[in-house]
Amino acid sequence: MGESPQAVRAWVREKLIREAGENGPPATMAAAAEHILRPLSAHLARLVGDAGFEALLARAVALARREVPALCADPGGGQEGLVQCLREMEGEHVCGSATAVVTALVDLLASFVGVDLATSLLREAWPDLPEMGDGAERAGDT
Amino acid sequence: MSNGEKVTIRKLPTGVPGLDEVLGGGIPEYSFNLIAGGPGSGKTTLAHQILFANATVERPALYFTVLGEPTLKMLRYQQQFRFFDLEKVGRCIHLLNLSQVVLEQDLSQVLASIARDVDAANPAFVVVDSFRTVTRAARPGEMELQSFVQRLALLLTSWQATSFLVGEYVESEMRDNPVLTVADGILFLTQAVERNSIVRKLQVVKMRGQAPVPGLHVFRITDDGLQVFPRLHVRLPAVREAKEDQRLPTGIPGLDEMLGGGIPQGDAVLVAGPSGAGKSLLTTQFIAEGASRGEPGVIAIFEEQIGDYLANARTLGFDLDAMIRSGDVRIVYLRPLDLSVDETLYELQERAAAVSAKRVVVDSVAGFEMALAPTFREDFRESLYRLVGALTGGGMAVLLPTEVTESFLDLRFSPHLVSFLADDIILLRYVEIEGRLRRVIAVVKMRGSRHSHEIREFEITGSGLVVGEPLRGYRGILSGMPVPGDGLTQAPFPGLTDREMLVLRAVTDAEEPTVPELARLTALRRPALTLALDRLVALSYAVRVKEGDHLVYRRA
Ligand SMILES: Nc1ncnc2c1ncn2[C@@H]1O[C@H](COP(=O)(O)OP(=O)(O)OP(=O)(O)O)[C@@H](O)[C@H]1O
Ligand SMILES: [Mg+2]
Repeated sequence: MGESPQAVRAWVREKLIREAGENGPPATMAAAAEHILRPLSAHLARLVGDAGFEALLARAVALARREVPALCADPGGGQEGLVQCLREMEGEHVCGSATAVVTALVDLLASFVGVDLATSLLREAWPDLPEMGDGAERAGDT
Repeated sequence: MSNGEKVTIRKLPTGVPGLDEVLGGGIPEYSFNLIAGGPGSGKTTLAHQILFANATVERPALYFTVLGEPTLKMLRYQQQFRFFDLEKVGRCIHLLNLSQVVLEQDLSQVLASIARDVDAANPAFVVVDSFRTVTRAARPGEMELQSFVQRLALLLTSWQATSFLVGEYVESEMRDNPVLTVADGILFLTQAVERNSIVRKLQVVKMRGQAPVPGLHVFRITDDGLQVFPRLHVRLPAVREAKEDQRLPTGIPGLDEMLGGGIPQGDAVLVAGPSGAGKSLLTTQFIAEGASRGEPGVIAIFEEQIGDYLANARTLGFDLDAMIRSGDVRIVYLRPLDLSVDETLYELQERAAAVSAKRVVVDSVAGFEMALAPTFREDFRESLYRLVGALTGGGMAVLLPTEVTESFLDLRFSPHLVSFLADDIILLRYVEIEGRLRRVIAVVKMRGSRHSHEIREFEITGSGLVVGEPLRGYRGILSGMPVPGDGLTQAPFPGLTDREMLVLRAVTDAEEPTVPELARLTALRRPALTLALDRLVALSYAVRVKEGDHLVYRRA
């Protein structure tokens, strides 16, 4: 898998901070994360089914744990489970964890269907998603 | 409504080369279709190809995926095809997953869910992939499959959507299936794997309101998606209209004389002989002669590389390169192991049509057979017959060099096939006369026209084949070991028994004999005699003519 697209990472982080503040309380930060995830889960579930989305999210959490070991091992329960886990984390890790999970999810999607298609699928959920062509490996390429 | 005007059914192009032709024009608008086939048969690819060719922002498509292939995987694989336009996904083609409803609810909920999405998106196209998983997952006692399918068809048609259900079915399941009665169109895809080749075939089981081309059509899947090679209709020789007796000279004076002026236009000619006898030379000469007369030619080569073939012709004094450059001659080189006859036909016909060919050489029949995938080799005879029929039906003269070893009777085809396949047979042989190996040529058969029964000697010179005088004074020339005597009566008649030869000789010698006369001449009794006569007529060696109020026989 390629490097996580830096532009996406920065965009996620910025969105979280704008809503919850630089060092906002875990509950506020978790809520901000939920606001990012909700349109995505609704959108992707239509495409891959609820079970499909849960599986993707579980994999994204597992990948994000390599970066933020403080993240819960297997929150379960899909998006709600993840938000619950964020809420219960140490304050300093919440923003980084949420960013890592969302970025991993984007990256995972791109690894399956390629950056171009992933971008266009995600844009339907997040119209303001930045371009992520640069620096990201085109996983769909052969 | 006025003037009794009938509705015009718009036909949508499928975007699959060859398929519109097979369907009888395209997919009828608002039709409810089934794309059926086993795993990996190309159902999803076909559905995608149709959508990418038709869906637009104004006329979008809904693609429902069910429990089968996970959507992300499908997108991952399908985008490898060139027709897959990333721009269209999400804008013109909307993918929706139904697995949740299918897993947790019953068919009426599935229907309601589809109805909601269709209502919201107002699609022009709807695909459910795969449909079988929808129905299989339903619990017993719930909405009946038949009723579900009928309501779905009603819903989609009322919403003016052209729809495709993708179903995983094998052939045995294609009967007694409620989906089949409801569907307006059914496309059935199969694939057979044999050794190292995959042969894919498509059948239009039905297509309401239009006339699809019947039979199994070969198709391929490449980076461009599906391509169908329509199986062509071939007229049977029996109904082939009488053609004008226009002759195409071979450019070999003695041979043209033996043929009564040349090869009849629209004839298929077997040029049979052992290896090295001069078959390719004869056919090259035929093509070169055509080029010099402004009659374009096509040579299909299976066994040799084009380079070798050209070099070979050059050493024999023919500059095929120049003829190719000037556009008078085309060479088609066909080799891939999984070649099917329909692809060959397609390719040959394209080339032949491109130059308005009058002369075609397929060098050689054995090469053609070898170039076919094993599956196709089984129906090789029929294939060859259709190939030749399609070409000659278009008025081309087709020469088929065919290697035969010892005697003509070894010819790999049954006399029946030879008789049906080839209108004419030219035979080349080596014979040993007085300790010297000599080459001889004979016109063994010509359907519907008189020809020489001579056996002539020929030589291969720097300017091609030169046919000399008839060999006289020998018997059994074509056996390869002639003995002094009358050679004419020993002309070879492939596939005939001694008794049939005897009868044929009597037919030849007597002036239009009747059956009683033949009985006297041959000393054969009725059943045996009439059987022999029937076979001679069936194999086109003899014709039965009504003369006054009795039947007479004469050489064909
Ligand atoms: N570029 C390509 N060149 C040749 N063949 C290809 C190419 N890409 C895919 N294929 C073949 O096309 C087939 C894919 O067909 P497709 O997925 O449409 O089948 P399907 O009938 O939908 O299968 P399933 O029942 O598994 O859903 C496979 O057999 C694959 O080997
Ligand atoms: Mg499929």
